Amino acid sequence: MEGSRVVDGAGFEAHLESLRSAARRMTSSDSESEDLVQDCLADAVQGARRLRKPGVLGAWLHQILRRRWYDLLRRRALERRRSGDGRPASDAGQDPEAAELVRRVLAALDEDTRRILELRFFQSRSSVEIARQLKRPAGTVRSQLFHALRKFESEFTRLCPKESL
Amino acid sequence: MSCLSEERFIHLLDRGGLEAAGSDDEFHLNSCDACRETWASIAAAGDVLAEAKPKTAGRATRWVPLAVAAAMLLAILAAIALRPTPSRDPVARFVDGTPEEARSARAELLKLGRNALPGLVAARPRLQGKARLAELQSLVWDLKSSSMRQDPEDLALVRKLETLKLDIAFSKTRFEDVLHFIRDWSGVNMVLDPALNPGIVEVLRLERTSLREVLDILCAVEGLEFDFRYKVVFVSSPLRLWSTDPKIGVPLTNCWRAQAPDSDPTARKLHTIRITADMQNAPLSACCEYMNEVGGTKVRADPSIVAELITMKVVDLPLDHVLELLTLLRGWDVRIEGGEVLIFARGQQ
Repeated sequence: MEGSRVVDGAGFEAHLESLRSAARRMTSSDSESEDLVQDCLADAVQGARRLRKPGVLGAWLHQILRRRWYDLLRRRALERRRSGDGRPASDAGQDPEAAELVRRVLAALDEDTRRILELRFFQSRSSVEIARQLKRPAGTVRSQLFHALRKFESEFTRLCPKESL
Repeated sequence: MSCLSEERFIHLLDRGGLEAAGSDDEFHLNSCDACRETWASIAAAGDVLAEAKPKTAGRATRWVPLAVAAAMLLAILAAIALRPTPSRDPVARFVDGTPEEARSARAELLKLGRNALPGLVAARPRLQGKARLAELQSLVWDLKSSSMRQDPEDLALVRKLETLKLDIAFSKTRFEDVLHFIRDWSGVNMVLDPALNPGIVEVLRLERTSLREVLDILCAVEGLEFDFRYKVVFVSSPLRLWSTDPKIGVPLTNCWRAQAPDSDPTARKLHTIRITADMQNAPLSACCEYMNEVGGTKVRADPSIVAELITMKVVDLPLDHVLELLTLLRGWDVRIEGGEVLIFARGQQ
């Protein structure tokens, strides 16, 4: 369509190799990684006009790729859970069971990590507001949030292992 | 430049993402694989978490009374529009009358302006498959665009909708994703009413169709409508767009306009400063910080609403209209207090 003519090739080529190698590291499979990169580029073409800072294109593409990967892990984990009762997996992002899966990941984290993530993402507090609430310096809270996200990611990939793909 | 600190990553996340990156960050992210990966990893984890946010019952059911009231009003409007009497109602004459009656009714309806739109839109289903449907659509467009032909910027927006042609092919795609694609492709600011949650567009395939017709068809699929409001194309339900009942219709302006004269320095800033914003599930507090930074005027929100999440994208829009889109569609308003702009929930004045 005409829209894609405007955005296709908008510097994506320069990042293809790094996307492919990141995808291969995630999936450990050539075919899965190629699919993942294709899905990522399809999303990127749809959203490219939103991006007004060309310098962050690579980081933005990697963010989409990683998001696609999490969606895939989650969908497959749900498919595995449902294989017993024959229900199909729907779009993970809109599925209440997908949200429940994320909350199970949170439940597996230590209390402080879980609390700070819930404040930020479930109660939509900014790091400054969390700092005020927890009576901690804002810089400390930002650092804790950073590590909390890392722990969440690690627990998420542990609960939705790629071996299930 | 050294790698981005942990705090800096979270700072970017708080500010709504990569668009908040400064030139140093931008330069570094462009050249450092490790920082790119780190950003991707924490931002995507944040997306997954935000998506799993539990929906509160209050929020989910808040619109039920409004929806019931809207349905009742729509039924009344439809009953009026569909009344099979040879009344002098110009909508009925336009829909059912002879070509001469329709012509005179058209002139009357044009004089009524936007007030004629709810009746015309309610009568539209009766004309499905009939030649007069095109005339009705043309009249609806004239009513929407008639007030837009004085200001050159408004006129340019109207012209864009009339002249831009596009090919689209979507299947099983969320309504808002289709709208966002059209918005991003055309460069026209389009905002979907956040009070609505339209469903999936099963199939939409159009070739060389004007932007205006694409919007007509897309909105018709979901029983929605669009109009020019707050200097953007605003998509909502007909009642939210045009009802004159303040409990149902979305207000046209923020209350500060009645409060502050144009000569007020803060009001002048709101009129003249233009901003571009792409907020994706950003807390209102972060949106205020962004407007402070970009707009150079102090914007703050009442503590009771600072945590509300905002998703909205506009490009190069005057700050006063950005504030209208940010607040009026969510039941909030804006007043000027001691040179500061205060966002508050209506009813908490």
